[in-house]
Amino acid sequence: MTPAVTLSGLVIGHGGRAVASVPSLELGADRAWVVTGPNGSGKTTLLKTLAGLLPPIAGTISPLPAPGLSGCVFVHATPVLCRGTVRSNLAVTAGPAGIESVAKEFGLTDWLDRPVHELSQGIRQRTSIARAVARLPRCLLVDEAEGGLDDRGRELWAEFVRTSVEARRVVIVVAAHKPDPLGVPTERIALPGA
Amino acid sequence: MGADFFEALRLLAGGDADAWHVAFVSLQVSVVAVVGAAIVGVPLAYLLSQMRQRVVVFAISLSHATTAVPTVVVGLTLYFVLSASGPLGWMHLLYTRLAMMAGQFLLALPIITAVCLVSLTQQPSELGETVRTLAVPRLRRMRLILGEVRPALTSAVLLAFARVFTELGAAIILGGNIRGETRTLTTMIALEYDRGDAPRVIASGILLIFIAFAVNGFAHRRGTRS
Repeated sequence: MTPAVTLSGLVIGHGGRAVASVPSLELGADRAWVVTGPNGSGKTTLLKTLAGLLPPIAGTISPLPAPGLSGCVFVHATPVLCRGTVRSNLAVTAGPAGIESVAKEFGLTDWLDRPVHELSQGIRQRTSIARAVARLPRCLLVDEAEGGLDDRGRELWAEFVRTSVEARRVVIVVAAHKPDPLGVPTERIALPGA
Repeated sequence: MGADFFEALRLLAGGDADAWHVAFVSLQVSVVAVVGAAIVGVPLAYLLSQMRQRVVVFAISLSHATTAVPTVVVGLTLYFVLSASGPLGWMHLLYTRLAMMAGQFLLALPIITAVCLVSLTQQPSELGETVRTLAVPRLRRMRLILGEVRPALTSAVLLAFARVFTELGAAIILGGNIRGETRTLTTMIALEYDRGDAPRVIASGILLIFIAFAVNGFAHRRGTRS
């Protein structure tokens, strides 16, 4: 079954204060979704709400978001890695075979045994995304991935999105400033901001 | 004074069996107490850090306050609990190393809990969000988050060790300073000071400082390497 996330009358925000409302729509895996809007418009808040890290102020999300249970994985704009190596970080979500496969997919094979504190921002970002992908989520929510990635990183990320959309295996929602950050066909969710 | 100091060095170099056995008892009691406090205190701090902000603030205040409880008060409290007429008198633990370990455990626990808890609350919220969203199982989640505060855990254990290894009040009340059994370096210093045996007092002091520095150095090296 093709995964999908349905939003209905969704109002998002922090601590009961609304930041944005999102039109009712179904986020399918047949295309990538890009959330755009100015700073403070609620892009990250929307992704965190979809991941179940923030409760919606109003409206519903189906399936019900719950961190770790709904299959929605959120990747921060600033990569959050644990102490250790790229391999030990990928091992959080993948077995030995999965590590090799996801490392190859994101060009991390040569970096696997490097301590994370020695990595550039771009490699950290790739590791962070690869670790989330290795969880095999039904919904991948990535906050401003393009910021830290170099050309090669963007290429690998776009390739992953392209093949995932073709296979309709995962709902991909990306927050970005540019409407077309991936170089692949996307559907835009524009948040107007204040 | 100079002659006493050289006599103390002669005692140590000559392998004074009594002094070295006392040093062993001190180390044994303190290490067991601190390891026990770490086994309880670190997961406790983690569990508390996952609770509501109000609970966390209260737990930090409480654990900070209990670090200031005098060692003699802990010793006396446990003495009443373990004495023949106390609720745990039937265990016959008073004047044993186990009673001293229990006293030092109670002294070490709030230090380890307080330092770990403060350190955990200072971690960026993104780390907790990431391990939650990645569906990491609870036990592994705890291990990952505690791994991020490893230097603080080392500090917590060292601070706790420094407090219990050099304390006198609980050790003397709960151990009774029994030669060959519950005599520690601090209780021996107190005894020999009363007797006026300056070389033994100095020798015990040197051993106390040497062991404290050695344990700190070892733990610090392990902590920074990891």
